This record gives sequence, C-alpha cells and structure tokens, in this order.
Amino acid sequence: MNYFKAKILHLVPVFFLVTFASFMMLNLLPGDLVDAILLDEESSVPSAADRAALEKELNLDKPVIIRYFIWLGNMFQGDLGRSYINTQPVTEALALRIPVSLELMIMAQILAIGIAVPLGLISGYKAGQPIDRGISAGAFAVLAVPLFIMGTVLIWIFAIWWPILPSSGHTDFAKDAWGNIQGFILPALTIGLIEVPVLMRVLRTDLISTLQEDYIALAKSKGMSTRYILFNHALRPSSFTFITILGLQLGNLITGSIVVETLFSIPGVGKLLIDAVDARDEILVQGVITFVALVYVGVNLLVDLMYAVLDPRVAARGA
Amino acid sequence: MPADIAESQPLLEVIDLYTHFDTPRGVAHAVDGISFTLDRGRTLGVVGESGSGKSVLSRTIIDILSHDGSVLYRGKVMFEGRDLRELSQKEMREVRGREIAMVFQDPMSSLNPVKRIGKQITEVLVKRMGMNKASANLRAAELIDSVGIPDPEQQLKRYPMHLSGGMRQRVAIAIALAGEPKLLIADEPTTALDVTIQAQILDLLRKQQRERNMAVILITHNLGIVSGYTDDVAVMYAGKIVERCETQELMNRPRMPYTEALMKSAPLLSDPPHTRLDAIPGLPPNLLNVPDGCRFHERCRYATDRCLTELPDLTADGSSEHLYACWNPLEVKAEALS
Repeated sequence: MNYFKAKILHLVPVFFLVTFASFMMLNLLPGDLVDAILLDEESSVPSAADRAALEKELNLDKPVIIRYFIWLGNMFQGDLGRSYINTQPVTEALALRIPVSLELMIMAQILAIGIAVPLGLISGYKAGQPIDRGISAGAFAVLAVPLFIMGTVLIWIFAIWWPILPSSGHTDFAKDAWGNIQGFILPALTIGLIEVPVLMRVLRTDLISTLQEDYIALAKSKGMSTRYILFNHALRPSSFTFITILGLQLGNLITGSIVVETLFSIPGVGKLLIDAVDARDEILVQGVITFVALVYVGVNLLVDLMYAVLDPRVAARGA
Repeated sequence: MPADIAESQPLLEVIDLYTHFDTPRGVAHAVDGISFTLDRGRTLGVVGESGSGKSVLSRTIIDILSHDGSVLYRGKVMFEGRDLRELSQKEMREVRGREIAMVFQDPMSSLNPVKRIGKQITEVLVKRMGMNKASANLRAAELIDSVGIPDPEQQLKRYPMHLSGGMRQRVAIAIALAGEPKLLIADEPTTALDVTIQAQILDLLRKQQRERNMAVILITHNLGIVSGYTDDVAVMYAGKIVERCETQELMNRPRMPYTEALMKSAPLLSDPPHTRLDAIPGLPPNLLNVPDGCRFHERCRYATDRCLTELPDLTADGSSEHLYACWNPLEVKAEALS
C-alpha cells in the first residue's frame, strides 16, 4: 500500500505548481482586465469609480499572491469563480463541456490502443520481415503528419470523397446516441492515429526483447499457439513503456483536443479554453487549466497504478 | 502399427540432425550431424561445455527455434515412428507439451513473472488436455503436491516472485508434467540452483520419470550428474557427438580424450584443498568457423597429424555399443604405452 501512498504524495506538489504558475502567468498578460470588461459593457470610457468598484469586486486591488490564495481557498470548496464575461460559474461551464471532451478522449484512446496493439504485436513478432518494414514505414509517415492535416485529410476521405461520416458538429447523446458516436469517430480517429506510431513502436521494441525471454520459450514448449503467447504471455510484460507513453501522450491529447475540437466544431473543454482565451476571460482560463492539470495528475497516478497491475513485482518492491 | 513393433521401436530416434544458424557473421554449426536413439523410460545424459550445441539440440527436437529462415535444419527427428521435422507447425504444436515437454535451465527466468503459478499450469490442462477450469485447478494442485511443494492450493494463487529458485524449478517440472509427456527434456535443470537443492530436483525428476515411465534427456555440463542420474550418455563437442555409450561404460572406460579431459577437470572431494583444477586448455572452437579434422585437436594432448585433417566418424570398436569419434582412443594408447 505504501507504493500507492508515495505515488499520490508525489503528485500533490505538481498540482500546486501548475495552478500557481498558470495563475502568475495569466497575471503577467499585458492589458487591463477591468478595461476589457467595462469597455465591452459600455461604449463610453468607464469612470474611475466604476473601475474601482469592479476592481474591488474581482479582488483585483489585492496583490496577486493573495489573490492566488483566495482563489485556492475557493477552489477547495468547489468554487472556481464566475466567468468575467457572462458571470456563469466556471464549474458550470466545465460541467457542460467535460462529458464531451471525455467522450472524445476515451474514443481516441480506444482507437489508438486498438490500432497500435495489433500492429505492434505483428511488427515485433515479425521483426525485420517485410510486413514489419511496411508497418514501420507507414508509422513514420503518420508520425510526420501534423494533427490539423490529419483531421483535414480524414474529413476529405470520409466526409467528402466517401461521405459516410459527418465532418463537423455535435449531437446530444441522449437524443441520438448513434449520431453522437458518428460525430466523434473522425475527431477521435484524428487524435488516435497521431498517437499510434509512437505507441506501436515502443510496443514493438519491448515485445522483441520479451520474446527472447525463457518464459516465452517455455510457453512455446507447452504447445501454446503463437496468438495465445503474444496476447497472454508477451503483451503484459511488454507494455510498460506503452502505458507510460499512453499517459504522457495525454498531454498531447489535451492540446490536440483543442485543435481537433476547433476543427470539427465540437463543444468540448478545448473549445472552451480557446474561446476563453479569445475573450480574455482569465478566471475561466484558470479554471480550465486547473481541470486539465487535475486530469493530467490523475492519469499519471493511474499509469503508476497500472504498473502494479501489469507486474505484481512492482507493488511488492515498494515505491 | 502392431503393438509389438511400437514397443520395440525406440521412442525417439534422431538421425543425422543439423541445426545451423545463418548469422551476419557466417553460418554457426550449432548441431552438426547428430544421431542417437532413446527408448521409453530411459534417461540419456547429454554432456558438454557451454557452446557445444546441447541446448540447440534440445530446442531443435521440441522445435521452438525460429522458422523465419534464419535457422537451417536438416535430418530427421523420429518420434514414435513419425518424423517431427515433417510435421506442420499446427501438428507440431500438438506434440509440444503433450508428447515432449521441457524444463529450462533458470527457473528465475523460465516462469512468466506476471502470471500466477496456477494459471501457468492450468493453461496446459485447459488448452492442451481439454479439461474445464475447475478440474484443471484440482489437477494443478495435485501436480504441485506431487513435485513436493507444501500447501498446493495456496501456491496456485501466488506469483513466481514469491517462490525460491528450487521451488520455482519444482513448479517448472509440474508444468512440464501437466501434459503427461512421454519425453521430458531437462536443459541443465539444476545449473542455476545451489548444490543442496540440485540433488532434490534431480531425485524428483527421477521419481517422476519412474512413476510415469517417461524418457528423459538430461542436458548438463556436470559428469557427476550424468553418472548418478542417467542410463546412457552422449558427449557433445562443437556440435557433434564425440562419444556415446551406457553411462557406466563411459565412467569406467572413456575412450575419447575429450571425455577424459572433462572428467579430469571436475574437482574431487578427495582432493586436498587448493588443488589446481586440471582445466582443459583453450576454448571450444567458434561454431562459425570450426577447424578441419577432429574438432578437438587444438586442445587434445594426444593429437596426431591425422587429427588435423581427417574428421573421425562416430564408430564402435568391433561389436560393442560404445561409440566414439577419435583416431587415438584412450585404451589403445594405454596398451601401447604398457
């Protein structure tokens, strides 16, 4: 159990550092927030009294470090503040967008794993043979493609040239479940395909060394089939780097989802972040960043816990 | 075929077997024209230094080396009258585990570290013996019990990391026995274990062999193990068998100088402390580039000019079953000297 406690403790400072750093950096942005809000509301130049009142309301008259701690204290009570622009609570805005992004991410990960695992296994098992070289060449080609090009190409293929999937838009799951899933296929595939090359390559490399192990020779000598050996004996011990990369790539996934949600007009967290940055809605930006940091930290914890599931020796060895 | 022929037929007959590895640096002659027979219930010791081809021989028989073209095979492996080398991969898979099973050298690495012991045994029972999960679990516990591990039901739930080396090797033996094989290949089963455990494991192997009338190929570099636990013995050197006979005969009357050198290089309990071992000078030949003539000539104290150019065949003296490959066999020399 100590292994898990230690892992959780490691992640606490990471979370504080991210929220603090983002708070400070947002504060360093040029321009005046009060002006931005007041100019937006009234066409005339705001009076000094109005300015002072708003500053007080938003705590902008206090030093930035104090504001951070006020914000932090509220956050622990589940209050991320209200949008400067439309006074919607940040948590409410997030709650609307999170399910959408979550669905996108989960589908992207499922597609990425579903494509990378079989390719990695074939490639590692047939290392050096034509099929492996073909897969590797394809992987490097995909690796060189930026996210927005991948998305555009997929739209061109599956929405225009062979129109079987919608190119943009989002349907509510409760209203039309199949339509909802259809809408997510292309964006999820865009993110998933970008992840495949690295995942597949690390699995291939680890599998090649696992296949040299005596316990694989023993499994063969027991008369187990190749497919069974690959999936049941070799995959788990070969998936450490794979799982690590999967966790690390979540960072890319979040930034990726910003691009992809914009490209496919999906109202997710990424789109929310972009819109908030556009509107200079600092408190909303801060809220989204906090959420992303939480997800990132949570996934990393999950990855560490996965090690222990993959290999019981990890938990036994301790942190 | 009629039962009496099946009975008289040897269980395993290896005929002129070659296993060559096509490496970037050339072709490695790991197994280079080997023939022997093994009857049911007998134990054949295969002895030789590291790199003599013993392990490759065993892996060729059970056919777990690569088939991607990097390994070249020739010759026959007749098992109960069928040539295993002619079988398809699918047919050969039916043989592995059920007819022929294997125990590996290092039990620290031969058990899958991320699978429970029980699963590693029951997968043979379920996938190969057609048992259902419940009866496979019962059978696995019986097997664990029969290899002398206490508290079998509990052990099934444990991982290899929870067991000592000796215990792991017992588990490996239980796995091999699960398919009730007719032939068990034990590739240096005690080399990675400490000395007190070695005898326990070998005694266990012998007990299981007798109960099941199983044939065993016991691969080792230790002549002491050969003399204690085998019926027949084949001495390998650089991919070839250089001497083959009954174990007692070999121990009493070795003919091949290499066998003699191996015997002399082993420490004796009766030696006073700090006695220098009579090690064999030099190294075994590089299998990528085996020397002409007798492959042992560079390290042989009896080598003559003929040994440098002509490769001696594995032949018998007269009608005896003691085969050796040497131009200057030992007894002849002893008579000449006297």
